[in-house]
Amino acid sequence: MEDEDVRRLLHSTYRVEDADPAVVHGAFELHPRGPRRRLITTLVAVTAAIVVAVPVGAGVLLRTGIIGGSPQSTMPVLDLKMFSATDGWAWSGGNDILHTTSGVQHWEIVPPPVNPKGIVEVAWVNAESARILATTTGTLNDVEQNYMLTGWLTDDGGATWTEGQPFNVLLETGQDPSTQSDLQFVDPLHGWFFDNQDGTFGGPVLILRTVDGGRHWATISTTPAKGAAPPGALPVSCSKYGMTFVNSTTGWVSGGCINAPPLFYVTHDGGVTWRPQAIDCGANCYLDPPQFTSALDGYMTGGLGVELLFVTTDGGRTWRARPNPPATSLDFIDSAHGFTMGLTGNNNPSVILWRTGDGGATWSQAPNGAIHGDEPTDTSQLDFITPTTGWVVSLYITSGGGLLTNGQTPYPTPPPELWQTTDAGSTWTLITPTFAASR
Amino acid sequence: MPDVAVHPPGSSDERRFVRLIEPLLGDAFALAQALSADRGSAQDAVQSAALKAWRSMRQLRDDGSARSWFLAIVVNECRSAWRKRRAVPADPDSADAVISWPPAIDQRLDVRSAMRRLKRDDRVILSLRFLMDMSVEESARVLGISASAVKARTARASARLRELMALPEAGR
Repeated sequence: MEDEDVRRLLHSTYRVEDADPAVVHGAFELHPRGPRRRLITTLVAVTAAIVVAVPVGAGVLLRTGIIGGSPQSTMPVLDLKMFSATDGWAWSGGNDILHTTSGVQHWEIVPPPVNPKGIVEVAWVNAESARILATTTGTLNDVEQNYMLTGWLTDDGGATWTEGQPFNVLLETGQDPSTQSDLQFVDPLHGWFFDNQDGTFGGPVLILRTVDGGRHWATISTTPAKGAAPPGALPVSCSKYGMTFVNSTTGWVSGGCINAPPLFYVTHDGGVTWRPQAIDCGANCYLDPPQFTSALDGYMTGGLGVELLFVTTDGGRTWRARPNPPATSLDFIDSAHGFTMGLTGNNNPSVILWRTGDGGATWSQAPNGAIHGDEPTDTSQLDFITPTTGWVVSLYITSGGGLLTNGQTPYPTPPPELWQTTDAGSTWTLITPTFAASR
Repeated sequence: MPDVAVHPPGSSDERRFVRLIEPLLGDAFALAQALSADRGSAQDAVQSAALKAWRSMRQLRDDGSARSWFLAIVVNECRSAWRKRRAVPADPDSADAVISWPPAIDQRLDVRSAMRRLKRDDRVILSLRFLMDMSVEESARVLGISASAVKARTARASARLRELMALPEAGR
């Protein structure tokens, strides 16, 4: 039997029987894409340093009825951000904002009155304060028109929401504002909305700022899609992946360029003017937006064929390359302790929690923590509050995801799952939260 | 569940995904079937690979490499499924015992049976080289091994498949 015969046999066996799968259009858009920057303020670092984990679900009384009357009722707990073992926020992905003061086991649904608009961005400021942006969902499917966003803010855990003044975002390319855009607050007053349309080369960029908690927004920097950028604005060239501020004046925009070093611009006037900052990362290297765990300590991931990690201990003035991390989507809780979900490597590529206690200089696998089966995956969202206590939202389970179809029936769609560890990833417990309507 | 309308289709990333990855789903499914225990596992692998590709589109710097990039994800997903589903296929790495094959009623069943009895690495290399019709160099890139290693593994896997199917050796 010649090799051509092997080819013929394999083709006749594996290419003829089943209809090719096809994409269920829209389904992929339900899944977050790329590393998602979270708000990490000084308060988070302080909280993470002093908080002591408590068992979830201990002695909690729901203030109102449970949705669906059963603790098994499912609602996605996405964009989880716990500020302590008891207090935190999450987003259902729709128009329901979730707030807890009793741990991840129990959530109160505190929806801002955005209907008929839809929430497109969320920012968790602290345990009681959240900011969101919403827009009219119908317009998002149109092109070549203005998009108007409206902010809502709460400083009492979602008990009351205040509506901000609507504002327009980019219209040059007619694309939606929810893609590759980002909302960030460094404190309850100072926030930014980074609207770079589709995040690709040649896309326009708008940077909007609020200094009153989101009640009013103003455009402070504009980069056109083509031509020359105004002095002090971000360049027209290169892809912009996102923006991070460490305080009310200093922030960065990062990204990647073709056959050139990465885009890495810094501002010291709140985003009005920008200038490039040198960083030792070669041509075609790209950088994700940095994340900060304190006013001085931050980290930044990137890639150049392999994953890269840079850290700063001087508030972003200088960045030092660290050894390659074992996976993407890192989550640091302070200058020393960080986590990521990755593969064990070698001949046993199980998904496992990796952790560092020395700022990313070295990484170790969680003991006895090899995860098998339908448990947290390497695409999970991580949220740790101490070196031992954290959560992952398992966004995709191996049994399906509703993304593809064989032409008749979409593959099964498992809901995201929330897992908790209190022993640094050695063991994981599936959390089945209950949900209560707001008072 | 999230409102689809808040993340509508039409972004450049989705257009790129549709342009580069969606046409490869047929290839991916064929490859996954060759590497999976059953059709459902193949569907899972392709779906998981598609999701990971969707999430990582910006990491695909060269559109011309989309096929090898995506099929490498598919291979990794199948490998991942192997470790998660230890019982199926039944112990392929230790199935070195000589198997007395029944007369071939359906050649495809024979091929499937033989493939399942190959060592995993052998299945992967045959699938890439002869089912995906990848060159030696392209297969090497997908697997992260040298071209000479691809050639050696291909020869070994072909011989093993011939042995399992009780067919003549190449060149005879």
